[in-house]
Amino acid sequence: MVHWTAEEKQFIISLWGKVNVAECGGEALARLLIVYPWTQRFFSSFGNLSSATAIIGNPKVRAHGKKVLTSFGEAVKNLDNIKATYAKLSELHCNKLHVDPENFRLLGDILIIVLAAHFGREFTPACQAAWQKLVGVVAHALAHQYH
Amino acid sequence: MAPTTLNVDEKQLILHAWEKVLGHQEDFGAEALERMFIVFPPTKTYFPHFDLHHDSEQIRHHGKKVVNALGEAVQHLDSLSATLSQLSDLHAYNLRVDPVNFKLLSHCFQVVLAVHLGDEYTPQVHVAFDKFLAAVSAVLAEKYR
Repeated sequence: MVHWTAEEKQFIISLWGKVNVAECGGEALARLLIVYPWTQRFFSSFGNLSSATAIIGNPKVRAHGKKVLTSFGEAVKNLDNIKATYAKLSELHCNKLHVDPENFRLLGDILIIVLAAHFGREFTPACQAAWQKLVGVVAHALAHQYH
Repeated sequence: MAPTTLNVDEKQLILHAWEKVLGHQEDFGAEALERMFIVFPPTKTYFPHFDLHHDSEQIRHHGKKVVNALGEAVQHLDSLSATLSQLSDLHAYNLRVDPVNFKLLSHCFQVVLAVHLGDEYTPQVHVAFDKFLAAVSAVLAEKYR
């Protein structure tokens, strides 16, 4: 079980309360596909991903980004039990989706940058540290059931 | 990953965004280092001789050095190897910083850019900088062995 200080929980929960999940999720997924284009390999059914503009405007990207970040919210609600929270999703990503767990780390770093751009100075170094820890724990949990 | 070249648009985006860094080299550099030390504590092992308190003179001075070096690289995007040759020697033979740390500082520098540029740190600017910083990191490590 991961140990969170009261301060870390504060940073995570209070920032999450201000996140527009649909907007941030769409943006995070779009950036993942733009900054690390090889991640597009998982989304051949999403239609036009031919340019940054196409990706940003792609409704399937937005919808899926929202879905992914909504799921991320489960971690925030269950900070003391993240591994169990993602057990089923971990199996899914391994057995059905065949996603290299490195992609979870990439998306985590992208999310950090999206939060930084949205929250500016409020995203202090200490706040960033709490969130880096969270994205790391989520990535680890999603990779946990891999075999 | 081997360095990839920046295309014309990416070079433009970097040059344009860098105008926002000018005048803030010390602030941005210090903030990037501070974020790196706080978020990735093992990076502190390279600075046992530093005062690592918030806003220390040493962090500000070193941050300014780092960002000025990046600024040099920005002015010479077509000749990174030559421009950074001395720094490359320094890191290979003297400092011997494990290259994994270049990624960590690059990430933190991008966070600083995102914090201060906000909406202007568009996905297009983001990928351009990600590529640029990866190219700089590769040059710094190119004489390691």
